[in-house]
Amino acid sequence: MRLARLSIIVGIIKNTINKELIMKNLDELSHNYGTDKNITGHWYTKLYEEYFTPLRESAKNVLEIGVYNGESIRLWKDYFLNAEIYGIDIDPEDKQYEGGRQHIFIGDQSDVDFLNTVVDSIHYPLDIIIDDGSHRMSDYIVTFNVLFLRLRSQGWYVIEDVNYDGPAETFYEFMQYLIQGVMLDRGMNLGQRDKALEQQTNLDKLAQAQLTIQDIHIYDNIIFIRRS
Amino acid sequence: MIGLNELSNSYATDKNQTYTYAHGYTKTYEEYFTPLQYTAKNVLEIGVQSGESLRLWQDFFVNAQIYGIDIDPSCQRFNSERQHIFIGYQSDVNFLNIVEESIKEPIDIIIDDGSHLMKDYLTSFEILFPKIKSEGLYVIEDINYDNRDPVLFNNFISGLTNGVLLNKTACSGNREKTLEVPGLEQQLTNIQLAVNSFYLYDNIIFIRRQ
Repeated sequence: MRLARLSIIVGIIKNTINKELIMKNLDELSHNYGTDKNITGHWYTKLYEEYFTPLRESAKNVLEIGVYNGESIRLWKDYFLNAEIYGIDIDPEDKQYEGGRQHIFIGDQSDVDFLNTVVDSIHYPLDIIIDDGSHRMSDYIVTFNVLFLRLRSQGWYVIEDVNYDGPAETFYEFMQYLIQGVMLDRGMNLGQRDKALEQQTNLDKLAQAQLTIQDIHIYDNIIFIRRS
Repeated sequence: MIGLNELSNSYATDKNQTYTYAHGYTKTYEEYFTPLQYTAKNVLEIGVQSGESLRLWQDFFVNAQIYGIDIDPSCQRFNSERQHIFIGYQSDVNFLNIVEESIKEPIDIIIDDGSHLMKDYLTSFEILFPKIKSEGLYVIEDINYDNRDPVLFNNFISGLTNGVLLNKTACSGNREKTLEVPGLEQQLTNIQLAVNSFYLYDNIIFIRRQ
């Protein structure tokens, strides 16, 4: 953490153009733009700060599903000093937020062909993907399977409002999907991996995306999935 | 400041990375434990064996008392100024209660590297998790060593998930929706409800208290 803070300070010194903005932390920026990501709304920014501070300068490509009124796209643009910010939304009106480092794609996050068109036309690997889209449980897996593979190693895939669509119990079905992948991934101990593989007779059925999950972090209403 | 991995290598515990059948846990431990290196006051590990990892924690957590639990009475030899050994079974509730009572303060970190049998680590978790201080960590190593009962494991993780998602809920509408499931809140134990978040890796889990 100390190192991460140091790198921010170095960043501040290097950048003389937008000093005031850069010194603002994510929560302050979030209040600026009135997104629902800040502490008074979702308390997500506190977590984002923890996970994203080390990537503030190094992140090159950040993708968010769910543009809505453009606030959070702008937040990420200001926060990630060197990143291209990609936004996906079903509302054609959101095309208005395109410009500079902001790139908008209009389409449905459950449409695999659309998602493939998006990922083929942007720069990747992506450093961070945030799913703040439909919040429909059935969309999570479809979107995850296509986009997770475009994350760089150690990149983060975040899903917001995970219990919006039904109770925690329903969400657990998606969790199980992730856990299947985590537990099989590299197997820290070969003996155990073999044992796990024996049980998992339907290994072939596991999606490529599942098999590259390194770890999953579960918080109240938001999860972080890291690629191996 | 010496890193955890370096220390780990010098004691040849199976927690480090260079060991042939390494668990590769130290890299992960470093991430979670480095912020607690100087502040942790009480650290408990289940599974003492040859004493290496206890010594590792003693050297890493420079200000902490280190407690160890093992079934092998010969582990008593590792008792020292900052190392305290308890001999007994991690599935023995009475024994765990005695341990819990004799450690006066809340515990910063508990690491279960004991029998790795699911029924054992679940019993220990039930008794010892409440002893964890606010924002402290409970770690279970080798969680899929014993996979004879996938249902039990599944219930454990889904219980944690329900607890986390119910517990403070950022958005009250979602909380109400979750609570609509008949009897769900009653089914949840106080322990599950006290879970702030958890981090699941291949074969190891970190559970943070609220």
